[in-house]
Amino acid sequence: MLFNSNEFIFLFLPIAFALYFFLNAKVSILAGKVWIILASLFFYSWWNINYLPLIVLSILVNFFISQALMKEPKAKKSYLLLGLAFNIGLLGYFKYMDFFIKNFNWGFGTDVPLLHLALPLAISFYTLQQIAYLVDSYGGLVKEKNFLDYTIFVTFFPQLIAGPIVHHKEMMPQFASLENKIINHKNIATGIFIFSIGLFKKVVIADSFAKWANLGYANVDVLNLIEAWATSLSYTFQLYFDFSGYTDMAIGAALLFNIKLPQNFNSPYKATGLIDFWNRWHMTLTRFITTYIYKPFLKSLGKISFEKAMIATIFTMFIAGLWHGAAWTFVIFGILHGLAIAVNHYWKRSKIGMPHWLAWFITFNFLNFSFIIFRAENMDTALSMFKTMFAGEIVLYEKFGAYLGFLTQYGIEFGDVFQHIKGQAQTVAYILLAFIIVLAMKNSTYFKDHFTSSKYTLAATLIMFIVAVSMASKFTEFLYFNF
Amino acid sequence: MSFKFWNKFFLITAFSFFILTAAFNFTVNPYGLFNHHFFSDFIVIKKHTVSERMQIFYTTIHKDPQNIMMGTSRIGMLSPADVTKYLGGTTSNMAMAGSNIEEQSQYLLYMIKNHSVKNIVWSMDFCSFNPDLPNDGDFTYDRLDSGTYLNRDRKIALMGFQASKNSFLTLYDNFKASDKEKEEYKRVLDDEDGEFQKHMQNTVLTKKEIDDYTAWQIENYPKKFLVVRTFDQPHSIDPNLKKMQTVIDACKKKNINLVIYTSPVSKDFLQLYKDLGLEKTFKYWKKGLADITAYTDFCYLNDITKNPYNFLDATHLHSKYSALLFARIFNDPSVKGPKDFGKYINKK
Amino acid sequence: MTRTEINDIIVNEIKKVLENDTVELNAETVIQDIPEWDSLNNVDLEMTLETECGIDFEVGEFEELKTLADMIDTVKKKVN
Repeated sequence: MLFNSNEFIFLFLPIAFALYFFLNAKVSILAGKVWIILASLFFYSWWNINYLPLIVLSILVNFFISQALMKEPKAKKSYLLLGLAFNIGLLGYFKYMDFFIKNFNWGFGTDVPLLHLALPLAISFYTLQQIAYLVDSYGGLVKEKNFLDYTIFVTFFPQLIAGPIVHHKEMMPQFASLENKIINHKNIATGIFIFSIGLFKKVVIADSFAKWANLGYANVDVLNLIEAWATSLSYTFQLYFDFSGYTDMAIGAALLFNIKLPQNFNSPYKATGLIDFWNRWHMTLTRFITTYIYKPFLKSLGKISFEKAMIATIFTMFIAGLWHGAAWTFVIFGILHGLAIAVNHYWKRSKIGMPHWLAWFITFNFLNFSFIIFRAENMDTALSMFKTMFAGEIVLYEKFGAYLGFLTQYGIEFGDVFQHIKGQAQTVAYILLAFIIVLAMKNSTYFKDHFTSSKYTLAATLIMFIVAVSMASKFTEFLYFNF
Repeated sequence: MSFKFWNKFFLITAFSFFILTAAFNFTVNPYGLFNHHFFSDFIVIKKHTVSERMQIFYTTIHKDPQNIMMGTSRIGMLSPADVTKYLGGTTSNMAMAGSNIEEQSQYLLYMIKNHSVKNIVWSMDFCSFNPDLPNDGDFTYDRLDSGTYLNRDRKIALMGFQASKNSFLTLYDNFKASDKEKEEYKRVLDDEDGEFQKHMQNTVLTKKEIDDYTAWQIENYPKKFLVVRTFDQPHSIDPNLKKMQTVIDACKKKNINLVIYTSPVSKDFLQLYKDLGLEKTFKYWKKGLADITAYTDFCYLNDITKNPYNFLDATHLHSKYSALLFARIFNDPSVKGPKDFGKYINKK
Repeated sequence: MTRTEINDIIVNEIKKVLENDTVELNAETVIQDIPEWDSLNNVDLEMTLETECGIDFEVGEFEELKTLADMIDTVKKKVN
């Protein structure tokens, strides 16, 4: 059940909400907790019930290991290792086994058959969150030990599928708090508002870009230069509006239950450097990898030096890349970002200034290029896209032909510019608007924090909500290029 | 204003909007999804549909026919009346243009499971067996059996700007149209005696037009329907033969009479198979069909396929031969035509 | 170790890693809000405190400390 589906908006969410507060008020807090766990597991099983045992197993094993670990300080290291082996093993088996076998076969010329395991939904997210809990139990930093609160922390449906990656310290006290068990009209209004923003971002903006991006990447070989740029920019915007829209919906849905999820995006495309970018983009992932990978790794290298820190950075980004998916494109994406962060650090140390706009321009273009690698099915596709973006055939809008006809002698053609991605003037308008939104506008966290119950917010919310729901309910056909 | 008021106002406004929209679209029913007859005398013309597949599917299930014709557009051009003639009852032509075996099988299995079908006439098209022929964009593997597809259909027919726009346009069409136009539209739509096919049968194309269409198909079919990635390896069609087998088994279980034949294509198109290096697969296909079923073979060089002007283009048999084709399948000597057209293949 | 000693270690280290002597710091300064501050500087500070004061932070512990005062409190607790 996606957040933008009618099933979620009109059935699941209202029922989950109403029953939760009904149980809290009329039955007991315990009943409310059990209900939200059941609802979350139902939400999870909607996609594929086969993965339900896996998440339940993961929760039970992790919780009991962390309890044992805290009870028996002498054996705590063995428990930690056991827990880490379990989590990393689970993730490795389901997510990386085929990738490993493929590369093994390639490297050794063997023919080990692939397992073709489907990736259990959300496993990357719930595994990370539980690793953090385990490590913190080992470090003696865990105070909340309630099993139900722990289970809600892992399964709470707004953040279960795609984050934000929450930390037990910020979540478990909220689930335990009695104050949060009473309906709060301000939180509901704010939640609806932020959910509507997210829904609008996803359905109206991201899905429009998705159409062009998908067609572009499906037809990389035939694109012209302008189409290639439109395709890559479309994907860059799609990714942001999709992911941040999804996060807004998660934050909004959680607020209905008086739960505050952490901020995950802070206008990332305004970044003027790669360090800046990762402090604004998927912030909860950055927080996790900094704390649980980067720092322990750097500390393990002994006395800190700048060079060691750079090695740790590149290593960490390599892991972050691999976390996004089991493919070489993601590995390369991660390493490139690691290198770019290192360059950024060197530059910072050199104290050479750079105009703000130039720093932004370099950063944004780097991101746009790196997202091509992120999106492409393989490196060939990515390289072919790069090639077209710089050396592709130039086709201009046919009506310009009347004035700029002399350009044909330089190999420039006039015709249907966006024919392969089925775009029109609308495509250009969308890209320009998207630039304005990501660069000039405040982000949804700001709007959330400054929310008031005025007729303006009411009208804006109604429009965004109605338009998004109405646009989501349409027949969309995948378009094939040839026919 | 208070937050409580804000919330109430939001909920009431948003939900009234959606309920009114849904009620409006349900009443006008532009896609013919709902089997009701509100204002059926007034709202007759429904031209603003979004998916041909969807329309075919719902027209068929609302009609609940005794006989179904299935296949690609090769059978889509033929007349249900010619089938009814031999099988009795009512017949729906459920042909899906450009479909592959997977899609055809899904629809057939759905009809077998959920409707009282007695006979199925299934036209085999070599292109449909191409493992690299993508599914129609509207296709998801379990769209019919899990019910999600049907729910999605209801959603897009009730909610949303797209449905509302099409409802308005449908209303507008019907306000403008005269009673006579509506009568005519209804007659073609009901298609009890193959009105559309009669129209097609009277179609006269010049030789030049047929040549042009043929050339276009020969040029473009290798880009999609006959794209060769693995298709030149005979065993690449095995999974599709297996899917066919599941339909055959399901028919047996429910005692449904399944009639299978291979669609004729013109000699130029048969030549194209050779040019693309598909000859081996083509032979394997015919043998593979014979292994799992008895069928009538029209897809070879014969008195009809030899002459390209018996077709509308390279692949679509002119509808005037519809009666002849079904006469050969159902062993009816009263329909006269060239001798060499249709061979009954039965391995046993 | 006194609070002032710990405070001096922190302030000096911040000035050193930022190569900036003019940065204004007091007990209520939120470390993440210092301009130019990044995760690399944060590890620097964490590790300096560990070596100079002879203590160990658990994974994730240092990130929880927002202001200079928080840091001083925690270090003080660990030293004693």
